[in-house]
Amino acid sequence: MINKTNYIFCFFLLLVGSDLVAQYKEIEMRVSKTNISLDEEFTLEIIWTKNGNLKLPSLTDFVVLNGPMMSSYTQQSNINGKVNSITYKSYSYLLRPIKKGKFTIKESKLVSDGTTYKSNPITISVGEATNPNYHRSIEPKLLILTSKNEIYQGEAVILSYTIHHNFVRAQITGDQFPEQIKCWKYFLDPGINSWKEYLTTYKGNSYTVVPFKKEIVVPNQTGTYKILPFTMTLRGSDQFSTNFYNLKSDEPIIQVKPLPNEPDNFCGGIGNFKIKLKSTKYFLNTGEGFDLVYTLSGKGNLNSIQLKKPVLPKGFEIFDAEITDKIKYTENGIEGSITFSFPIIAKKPGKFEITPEAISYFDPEKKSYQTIQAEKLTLEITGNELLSSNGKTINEQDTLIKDIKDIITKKDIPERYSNTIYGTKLFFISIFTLPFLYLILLFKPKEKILNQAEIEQNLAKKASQFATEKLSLAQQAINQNNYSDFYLETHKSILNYLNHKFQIKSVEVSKDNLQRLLEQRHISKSVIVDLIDIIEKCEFARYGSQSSLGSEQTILNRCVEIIDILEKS
Amino acid sequence: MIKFHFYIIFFLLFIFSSNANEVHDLYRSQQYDSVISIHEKLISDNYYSDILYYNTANAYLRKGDTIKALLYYYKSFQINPNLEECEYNFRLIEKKLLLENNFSEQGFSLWFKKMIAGYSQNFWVILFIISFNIIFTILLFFKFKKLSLTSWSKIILFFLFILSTFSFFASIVNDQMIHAHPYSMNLNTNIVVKSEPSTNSTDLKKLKAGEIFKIVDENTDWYKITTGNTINGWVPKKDIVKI
Repeated sequence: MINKTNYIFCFFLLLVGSDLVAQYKEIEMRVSKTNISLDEEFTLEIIWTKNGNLKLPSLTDFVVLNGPMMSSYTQQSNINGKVNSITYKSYSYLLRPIKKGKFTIKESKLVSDGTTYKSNPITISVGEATNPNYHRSIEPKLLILTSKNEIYQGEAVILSYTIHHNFVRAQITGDQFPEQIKCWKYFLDPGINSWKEYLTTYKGNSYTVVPFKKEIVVPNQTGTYKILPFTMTLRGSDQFSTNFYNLKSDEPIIQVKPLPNEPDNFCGGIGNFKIKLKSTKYFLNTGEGFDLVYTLSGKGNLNSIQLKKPVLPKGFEIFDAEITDKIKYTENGIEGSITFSFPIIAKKPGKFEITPEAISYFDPEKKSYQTIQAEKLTLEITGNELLSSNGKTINEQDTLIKDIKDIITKKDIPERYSNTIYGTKLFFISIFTLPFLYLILLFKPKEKILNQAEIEQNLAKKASQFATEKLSLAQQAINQNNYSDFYLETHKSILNYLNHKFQIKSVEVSKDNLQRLLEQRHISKSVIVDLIDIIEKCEFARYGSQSSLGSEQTILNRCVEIIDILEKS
Repeated sequence: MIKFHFYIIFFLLFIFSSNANEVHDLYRSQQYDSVISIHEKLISDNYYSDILYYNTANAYLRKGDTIKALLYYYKSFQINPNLEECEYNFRLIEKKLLLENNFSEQGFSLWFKKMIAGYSQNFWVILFIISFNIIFTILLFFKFKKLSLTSWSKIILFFLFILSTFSFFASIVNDQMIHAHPYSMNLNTNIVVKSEPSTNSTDLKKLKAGEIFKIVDENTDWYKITTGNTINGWVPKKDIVKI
């Protein structure tokens, strides 16, 4: 969006442009005004007519609001019939002063054809701003404000992480807060609203102070305590411009002084406190319980205060205190109250005056220890004295023991860590064996289904093996002159052989059948005749009356020969 | 030497199991130191049982060492949350010592642990092994017989699968209850939780003796702990004992 200033700037350019026509130099600098006020802008123009290298002046004393804008203009003139042409080129800036005073814009230089041309330097006088509402930004600052610069050990200091700025509008684009070390710390919560902004003057400039974070810090060391800085990226806008800033805060130093010699009854408190004592019951019976309640209130490190068990007359059993607090952590520091409630059982009748012990705290304002003491109180206890079984007064441990459940006497055999089955070899063997077997079965290759040809081949193989076995038995029978066995074995061997080799069943073995079936398998006639002859001889010997026909060895040899021939066929 | 050691343990176990009455008599006659030394010898030799820990705790309590008693009650409760006497006693001590135990288990987790602790670890392991092996025996039987699974066999297999899975997880949880030490305890008074593992760092909280917490990290000399109330800090190792 072009604002008013830019319109004025453009209009001014036109005016200057027309002025160029009137005269020319190689290089020249012009400004719209030499005497300006702080809230005024002015234009700077650098005009040159020759081509060359231009060296522009430094403008660090001013804010460049616009520019450089380049323009050119060619002027032609006819003098005595001679036409001249000059091209004017210019750079224009819209500038605004930063501060009051006199500032010189140094000369511009133009190097053309080996010659250096210089423009005139210009001095600008900047006076007071004329507009009372004039506002312009100055460099913002990140500051960590501390509530105190010198504290005692254990005393709290409040840190406020702030930005000091005077922008019309400021926007944080990034921040990093450190975690302060070697201290106890508590971040303060501003609640629904953020921390309140306020105006301040810092080093002669007025600033808006924006606190971002506040925390209570209690350094736990003495000496010089350095606060760690925070960083922030900021976009700040004023009436004229918007700028980005990468900022880092200061690092304030706090001197932490050690406490003077602590008295014996020092409760650890540093600040300003009051103490009160009350009892939950003032009239009671023996065996009855009541609480002695010590309340410490005030400003200071209430959270660090420790109260010892009060020393009571004999006849009271006192337990550890129950501590409750109502502590507020605010911009003013730590304040509130802390209550130590000691449960007590009365065991002896009588009138007892409880005199609380004096305690001391350190007051950093007075720089000395202060002693405080609660008021006395009187208790009236009635009833009989409580005694344990052995006649002694029951003490704390005894009451606990009285209440607890006793040992277990049932038979118990302790186990040993190493006796567990879980994770042992036996465990793994017992869980993996069966699944492993199952997996083997699952992935076992299935039996191959044989085809007819393979079955026949297997049978034929068996046939020759069987025949060889039977014939060797037959040979044994000859050797033993046991001819009936010889014929039996020989017959069996031939029938089995035929059965396995040619699938001719025993019942089909007749002269005609055998001849036909073997002829179909291209067996020579002489072999068939010899085979039938041997079979007949065997049948004759087996089923006939004659046990020996003679020439058994010849029969056997011929039989072996025939099987050999049939094997090769 | 090993043999001698074995005999001593055997003797102690013998006293403890068969003649447990003798240990109980020692207890009755207020010889708590003797009871504690017998029990601690067994414990140092890796023996454990809920009752062993519980009775040790009672002896410590009678001796006057409430914090040590609390430690052994916690140990007993850790391996068997069913022991009512134990829970009653340590809750009473917690109340007396104003200790906040932020790690009490409740609901399903406690119920599950109670159920598992009702039986020994070996019971769950054996139940798992048996059910798991029956599943594969059935599967192998059908495989050998070349039969397909019947609907009844499928139902039986399904239940056996549930049983074996459950007993497997139960044995793992039981193992953790016995061997894992998820919590630790402070035996010393006045331990300060530090923001960094260094004595110079910020004090975050004072730990009471007997307070329990979880260890989340460690270095050579320090443990990083959480007390359940988002307090994360460092404590020196020497003051800490694992439950």
